[in-house]
Amino acid sequence: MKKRSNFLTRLPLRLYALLFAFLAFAFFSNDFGLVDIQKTAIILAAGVDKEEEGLRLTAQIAVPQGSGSSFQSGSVNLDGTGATVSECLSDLYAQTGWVPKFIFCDLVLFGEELARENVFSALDFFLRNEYVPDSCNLAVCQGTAKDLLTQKSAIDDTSSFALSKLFSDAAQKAGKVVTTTLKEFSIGYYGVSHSGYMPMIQTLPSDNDVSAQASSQEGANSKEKKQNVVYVADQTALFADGALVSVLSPEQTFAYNLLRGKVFAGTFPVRLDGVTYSLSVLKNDGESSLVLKDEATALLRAQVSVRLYSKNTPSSSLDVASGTVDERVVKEAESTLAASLVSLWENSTQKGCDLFFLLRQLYRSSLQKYEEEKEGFLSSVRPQIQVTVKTFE
Amino acid sequence: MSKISPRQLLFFLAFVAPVGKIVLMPSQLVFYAKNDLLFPALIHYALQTGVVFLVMLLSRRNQTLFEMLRATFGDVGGKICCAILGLFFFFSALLPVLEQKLLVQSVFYDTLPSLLSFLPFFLFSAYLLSKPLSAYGRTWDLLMPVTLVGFLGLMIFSVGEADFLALLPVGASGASGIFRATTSSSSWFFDGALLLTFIGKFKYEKGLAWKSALCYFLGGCAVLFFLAVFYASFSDSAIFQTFAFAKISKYFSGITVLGRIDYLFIFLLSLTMAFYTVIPMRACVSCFRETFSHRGVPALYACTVSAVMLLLSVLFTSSFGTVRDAITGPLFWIFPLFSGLLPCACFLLRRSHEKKI
Repeated sequence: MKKRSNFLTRLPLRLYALLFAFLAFAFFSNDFGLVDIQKTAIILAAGVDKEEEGLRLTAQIAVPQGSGSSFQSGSVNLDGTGATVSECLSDLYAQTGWVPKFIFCDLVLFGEELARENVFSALDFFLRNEYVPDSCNLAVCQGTAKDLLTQKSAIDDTSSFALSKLFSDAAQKAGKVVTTTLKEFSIGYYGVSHSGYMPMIQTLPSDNDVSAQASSQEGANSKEKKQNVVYVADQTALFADGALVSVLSPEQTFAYNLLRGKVFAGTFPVRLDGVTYSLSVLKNDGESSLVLKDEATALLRAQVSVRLYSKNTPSSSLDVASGTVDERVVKEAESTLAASLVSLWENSTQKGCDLFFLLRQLYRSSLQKYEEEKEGFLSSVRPQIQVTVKTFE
Repeated sequence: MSKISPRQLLFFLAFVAPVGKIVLMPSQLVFYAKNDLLFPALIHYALQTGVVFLVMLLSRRNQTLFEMLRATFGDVGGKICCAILGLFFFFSALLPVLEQKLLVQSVFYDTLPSLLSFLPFFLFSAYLLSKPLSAYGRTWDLLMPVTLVGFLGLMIFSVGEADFLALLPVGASGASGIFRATTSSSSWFFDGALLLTFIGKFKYEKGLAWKSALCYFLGGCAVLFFLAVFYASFSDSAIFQTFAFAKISKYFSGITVLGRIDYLFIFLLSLTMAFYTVIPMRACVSCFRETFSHRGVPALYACTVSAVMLLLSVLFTSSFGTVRDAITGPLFWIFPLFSGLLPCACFLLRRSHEKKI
């Protein structure tokens, strides 16, 4: 009893000592390894393209700047070439004297040509590098990554910031974009499915320039006369064995998101008797699972609760007040989504991309069946598509 | 005599011993066992739990291992045995020290730091090694809540993003894969041998043997849960996820808003790891002090062992892979020999009839 009392008496002092030790440990853990900001290049986004001989790495590097100065870009784009990504970085270092740091890199972008070959020739560096966060987003773009990163965005002075808005939670919940990270993509590639996906980014010309409007007084004269662009990521690139094999249309991308059950507040159009109805998804549930009974079946199930958001013809006040969706429109919505799912299935399986990770499901359910059926499994699976659209009342 | 209480020993088994197994061991297990990584770990824990139980039964004699060795093999023979044991503990300390060094360099620094950055660890180890066992006991009291909070925090942040179906199908790596994973991970399981250096330095209480075995196994269950979450988080990419414990929690959705607050938990566990890494070195010092009949001050042994370890860590700076492959490959048998067979063989030792002062 006395021992216990002694222990309890001394405990606060010990805990204080421990707290002090912990704080000292946390404080000194790396503060002496101060980074010279003048010599360090904080890479916000990296683009990798295939060159005639090797690769080209375009790094978008943050440039610290004081507030209240005249309008200027907060980043610069530099590129280096080499046989591997690390050689590209060495080239970049030789040109600028900057030490590139990937610790804040949130996006790795691949040019289309490289993506059609095998992105893992470039991703190899990012997987081996302990300092690249594997939670960074991956994307593929039409044309070259260099062109895309160096274009002037109408949304933000720094193109990578404009691109990151495409991958926001809101964009994902709207069902317009499918995102993936380095970790997720590598799991798909190294797993039995050897498949994956990335958002496909396109650029569209734009006359608007939000950033310029915000600082029009200061920078109107100095602003470069360069075509502004906006970025779109409503298509999805499909990969098999690390190579881009097909691209999902915006409708197929939306349907895929419905299967993942991640759409909340997204809208989709339904056309009936010459009228276009925009239905808003209030609730979504979905699954893509492998059913192994008599024959292997892929169950693609999407369930959505919708509300009429708008339509392109005048409505009566009663119709506006009720907000319900006509039964015929619901049926049409079901058939529209089902058609998207069918085309999604055909698009992915015909190109050899196991988008629904059915091989992985087969492997996890039975090792023996997997060994027996893995060859040509994707083409042998029959899809069973179930779409349920409910009107919200 | 410097003593520890049974409670402190139980804290060591349940909260300190497990942390040494979550740095490089997970990826080592995945290398051979893939998604079956839980089985080799379970085999080790089952065996070591038995060894812990036996060693605690041995401690009922209330004599130190060195007293029993002297009683059995005589003074010279006992010293030779102590020296051999000391060499084993030095050898077994090598991998944890190199592991700790790589962990600090890789997790807490974003570029490769100079060799000096890990030097303070050896100052810390030299200081701690010169302290009596009772100081370790008090440290384990304090490390108990530290480990608990660190581990729980890390798991709460990680478990939500884990896909436990990734552990299926059971037996995919086959018996050979599980066997090779078991042998190659032997170097992380020598807790039974470590306990040998503690016997006779705590008072055996009724039921302490099964309580110790239970505490050790509960600590093992925490490691098994960690391994499951680890594989469920990284799945087929787990094989190249070294230092997983520092990455496993960063996918928590709140991190994007709050920043890497999981580093608080990582630091807590790292703190316990730093203390754990010194334990085999302490066992080595303890054996060498017995070998040389306690001649010289404890600080001399502490500084010598720390200095040699520092030299080796500098020497193996760029050849850690070779050292790891040797220890986990052709030299794996040393660990089951010293941490499995040796503790069992200790029952054959004679009781000492020396009177304790």
